[in-house]
Amino acid sequence: MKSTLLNMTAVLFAVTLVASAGVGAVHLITEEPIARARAAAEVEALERVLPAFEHTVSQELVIGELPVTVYTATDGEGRIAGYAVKSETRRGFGGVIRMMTGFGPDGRVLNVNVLEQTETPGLGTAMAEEDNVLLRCVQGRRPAEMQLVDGAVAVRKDGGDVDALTAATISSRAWCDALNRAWRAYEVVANGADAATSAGGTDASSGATSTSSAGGAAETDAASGATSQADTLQHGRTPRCERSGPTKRRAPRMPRQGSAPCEEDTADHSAANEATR
Amino acid sequence: MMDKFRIVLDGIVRNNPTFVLVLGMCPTLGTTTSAVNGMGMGLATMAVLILSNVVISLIKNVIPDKVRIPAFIVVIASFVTVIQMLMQAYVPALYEALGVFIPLIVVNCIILGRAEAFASKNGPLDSALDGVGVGLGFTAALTAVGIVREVLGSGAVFGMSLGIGDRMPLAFVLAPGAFFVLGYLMVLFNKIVGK
Repeated sequence: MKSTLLNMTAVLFAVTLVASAGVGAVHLITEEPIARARAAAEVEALERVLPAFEHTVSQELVIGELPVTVYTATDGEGRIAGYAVKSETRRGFGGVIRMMTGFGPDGRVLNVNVLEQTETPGLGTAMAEEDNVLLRCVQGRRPAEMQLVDGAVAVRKDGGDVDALTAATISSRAWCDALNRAWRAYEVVANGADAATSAGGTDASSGATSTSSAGGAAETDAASGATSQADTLQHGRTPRCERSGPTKRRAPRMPRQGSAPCEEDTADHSAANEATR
Repeated sequence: MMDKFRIVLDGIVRNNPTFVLVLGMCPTLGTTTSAVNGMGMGLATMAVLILSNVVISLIKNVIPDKVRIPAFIVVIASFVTVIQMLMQAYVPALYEALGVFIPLIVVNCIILGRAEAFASKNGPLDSALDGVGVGLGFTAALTAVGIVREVLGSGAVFGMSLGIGDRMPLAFVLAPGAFFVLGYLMVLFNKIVGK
């Protein structure tokens, strides 16, 4: 067909219009299944790393500039069943690694489930397998009781006591990095609350630093916002709360080995518990 | 009838996109770490190829020559986006495994190549059959490369372990293995078909 300015414009316009309408229509159809598939993957990950639980309440933090989500799981009677922490790292060999780490109420690592990774197939990808070397090194142990390097869990090559995956030291370091972020987030969320009942202070590396009281107040607000949306997992939905400003500012400054647990965590934690009970 | 069959067969053998035309090497090398991934990539490409071939052959007479390529690209990109969303919704595991290669189907030269070389000159039925043929050829080639790499690299076929995983050379799962396997399969294919 002979090209003129008019017919070129008209045809391209018509083609793009029809194409975008088609893509939009499919988006409407698939939007819900996609969201459901994502939620299902997350619920499955939670179930894999935690003992039986009824409700979860999620809190979003920022640890070392990357987002971390802590799911506090409670059983039918409102007792804490454990904490699942979704953390990520950018130190992987092939990009971002996201994983879900389960902590028991006593701070022991229950399980680690790698949600997303693009490591080298056959080498670094072993981190996603069940019962791999990395997992075996930390499962059932408190990170604080492991051999720490600068307050963080590390692979043997760096002076820690985690055996790295064969021929995938970089991937293993990244895995440790994500685990450390999860652990720090767990300390922020869990140990403030635990301190009231158990001796959180004896734990050398427990807790986070406290910030200004203004920050604490804001965070409590954010947490109660989350609890009002708290939902049971049977519906396949996990509630989220807005990331609060003070948390963002506070987290990067958090030292690896913290001191006493802070009040605001106690406050928001008990608030979270109440709503799900 | 024989003609139609010929179109499909040509796509698989005489015009095999991977082993004969040597098109679409990027997804071929990148996604064939296992048989399942290779097959998934092949099928996704085939779906886009059939749909875009049919639509392009239908609209070929109303498209002015000078904007032919942009119009084709819009059609192809739309179908890729649709396939991507459908995969994400209904087969999330495969979607994650194929990752960045799904959006890259848009720039797969097989698809634009068939649009230019075949669909813009033939009717919708023939174009659909060409899509089926070339798509099957691509899928078969990717699956073959995937199977060989999976067996040699991790000692498994379609995820089923053959119990020899520990003794296999890992290099076949990594990038160098992709080139070796592709090269040897290409030689083998052309040796057999060439006669």
